[in-house]
Amino acid sequence: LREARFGGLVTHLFALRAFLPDAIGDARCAGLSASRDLLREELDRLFIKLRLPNYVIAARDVETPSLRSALEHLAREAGAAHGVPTEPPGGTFTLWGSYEPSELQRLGERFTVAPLATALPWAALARLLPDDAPVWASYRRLLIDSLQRFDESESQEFIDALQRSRDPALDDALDEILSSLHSLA
Amino acid sequence: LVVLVALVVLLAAIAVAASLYLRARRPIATKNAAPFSQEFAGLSAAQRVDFIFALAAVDEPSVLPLLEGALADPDEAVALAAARTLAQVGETARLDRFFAEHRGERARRIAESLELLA
Repeated sequence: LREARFGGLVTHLFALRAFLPDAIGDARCAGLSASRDLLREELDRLFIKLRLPNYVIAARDVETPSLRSALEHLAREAGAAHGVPTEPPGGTFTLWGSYEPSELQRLGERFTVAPLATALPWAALARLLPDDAPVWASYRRLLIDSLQRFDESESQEFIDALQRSRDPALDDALDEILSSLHSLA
Repeated sequence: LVVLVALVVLLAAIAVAASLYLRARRPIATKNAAPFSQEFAGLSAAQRVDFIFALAAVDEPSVLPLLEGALADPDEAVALAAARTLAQVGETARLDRFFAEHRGERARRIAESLELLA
């Protein structure tokens, strides 16, 4: 994540990818694996393209129909999930979070009508970030607020923000969670 | 009988011609990389990156030399895209060869970025 600081809101898409949960609720969440693979594919490519001088982000760099479909499936599954995932084997540091399922259900229902490369799927993923420590809760709240501002925006407005819109408080919050992770290592 | 012999000869000629045609086609497929490379060089850096990502989906050995050549692309992002694609299609021997032959700062940065993406 320290290598993926690009000066716009796009930095935080890499954080969403990095902190995508390994488990949601007490049952198997099939949408997680597909979402992880497709997020990785999409954001790895974007990570490389952003190393090109003056690269202008395009809608297809942010979201493809297959990624949208996987994220929609994930949002619906997360909206219907309940319970707590099994504790991972000992020796592992685990980040935990909780969310309001009805919120994800509501967002999931809007996926079919929202155009590609808009903020909606990322706002849904932000709700799956950990929040069991104050630094994490703060980052999650700030990121949700930041993405919420583009709730009604066209994709081009969101893409412009990904490229250019700096949110120093949000960036600082990300720095804080990275520092807290470093202190654990 | 004459007609039958003529028919057999005709069928044999068709079979020989078909086999020669198929044999002639094979090298053409593997030589495709050359004009491909010329077109590739004429693209912008962003287009070269997109081109390379598209090649990841092409199950065709003739694209591998182009990917290997792109490791030396003047733009480091293009080289990184090529390195990632080679890794993705399991062509790690070509990557190892590149990193063994190039030990400079640029190759080190590409290797580090590739590790980040792994």
